Amino acid sequence: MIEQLRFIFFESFQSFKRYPVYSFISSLTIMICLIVISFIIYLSNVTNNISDNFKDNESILKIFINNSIGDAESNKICEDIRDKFNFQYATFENRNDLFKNVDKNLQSWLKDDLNFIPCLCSINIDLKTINKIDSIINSINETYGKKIEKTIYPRSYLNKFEKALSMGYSIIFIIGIIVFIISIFNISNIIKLNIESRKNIIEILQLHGAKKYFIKAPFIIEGVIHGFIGFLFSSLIIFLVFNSFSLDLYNHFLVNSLITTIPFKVYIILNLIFGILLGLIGSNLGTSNYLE
Amino acid sequence: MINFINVSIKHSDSRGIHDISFNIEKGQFVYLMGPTGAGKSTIINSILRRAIPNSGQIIINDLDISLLNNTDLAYYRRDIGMVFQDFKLMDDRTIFENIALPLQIIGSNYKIISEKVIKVLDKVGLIHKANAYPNELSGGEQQKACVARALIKNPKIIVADEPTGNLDPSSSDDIIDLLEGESRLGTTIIMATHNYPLIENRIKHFIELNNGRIVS
Repeated sequence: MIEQLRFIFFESFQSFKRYPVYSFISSLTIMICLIVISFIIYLSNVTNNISDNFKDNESILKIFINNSIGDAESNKICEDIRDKFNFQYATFENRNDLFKNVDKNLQSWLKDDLNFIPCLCSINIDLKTINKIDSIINSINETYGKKIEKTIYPRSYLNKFEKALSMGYSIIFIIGIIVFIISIFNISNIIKLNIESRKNIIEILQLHGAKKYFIKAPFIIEGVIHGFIGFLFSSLIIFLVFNSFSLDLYNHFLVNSLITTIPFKVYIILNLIFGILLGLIGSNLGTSNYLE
Repeated sequence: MINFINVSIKHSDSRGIHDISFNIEKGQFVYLMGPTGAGKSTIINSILRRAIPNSGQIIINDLDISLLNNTDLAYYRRDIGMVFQDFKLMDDRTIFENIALPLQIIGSNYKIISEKVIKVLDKVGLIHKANAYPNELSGGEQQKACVARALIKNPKIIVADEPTGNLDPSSSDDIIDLLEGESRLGTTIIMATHNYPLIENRIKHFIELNNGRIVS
């Protein structure tokens, strides 16, 4: 048994010397598949990030307080709304704060009369309360009447975004599954080609009484080794890509969303698992089909 | 030892063998003779169970080989040595590795493999070619290597399908000498050939075929 195992492993490793082109093509195919799979994982992560960051940044209820009400009372109304409706945070901006955001060319025109600017109470809406937002807005309007100039919530904008994102997510998921299946068939076909070129050897082994596992095992181990080599190269490329871009220079939440929150080592582990799986399933499928 | 009982095998091109019956005893050297397409290779292939009978029975060592499952077939083939016209040597392995293969399949110890390979290489006169690759050898030497591979597992039966088909007369004689030597040691040998002049002075037992039927 030990001699048989020695032979099987020796054959698997020798194939790199005997059939370098097939080994190279097979490892290259697995490498490309792993890079595509990693990119899909990255895309799904980015989609998730964009979704979370977008909601955090854009899911804001803006309450403009009547400009006849002074800063102090406006602030009080803002805190009152926060407490009454159990919001976690409410950011109050008085006239001067808002004035700073006005275009610099306009500032010189406006600085003498800031009273026309309404104070702003911005409330980040918790994702759980989004469904109740209409009733909350109605209650605020009813409670404060003319003290409130206007309430703005970007509902349709957020809904459209949410829909587009969930569609994008589904597409990425489907593409991921398709890529994985195609990868398996790709590798299985390459192994089949490899076996086809060695059918003489398989025939000799069969005629000399080799059992099925004895014929299959070197091909399967070879597939796993190809998977491992594909993993090494794909990891190297992912590592280089990871270290080539510095997106955190751009301070915008959409750009920040492009920075993956999945640690590098998770990509590496997933690459290793998928690489070995692709090699294993592909070679098993290829040899089984052929030997049947 | 080898018993064919009313065996018929039909190929898709309507060739094959029809209602063949014969019995070969242990230690006999039997020539299968006849022109191309007579059915010699079909008989050889059916003994190796590369061809399965449409009717009839092939009993070898009291075993109906058409009833063997894949595992039993593997064990059955381990007791049969085979020599082919096209040698069936692996070009990417040395002569030593080619000859060692049957023993590696059965899981023999490397030391034993090494001893046996050297012994059998010495027997066929190829000891100096142990580390050469098949394409570095002449046709006669390749066929000797093929015979050595058949002998290494001490088979009870050796089947040889036109082993001299690609060889010059001198090399052909060497191969038949080697096979006859094994036969004298008790191995049953069936050799297919259409080269009657080569064997006419050696022949003791023969089966002559034509159009898939035994003619004498």
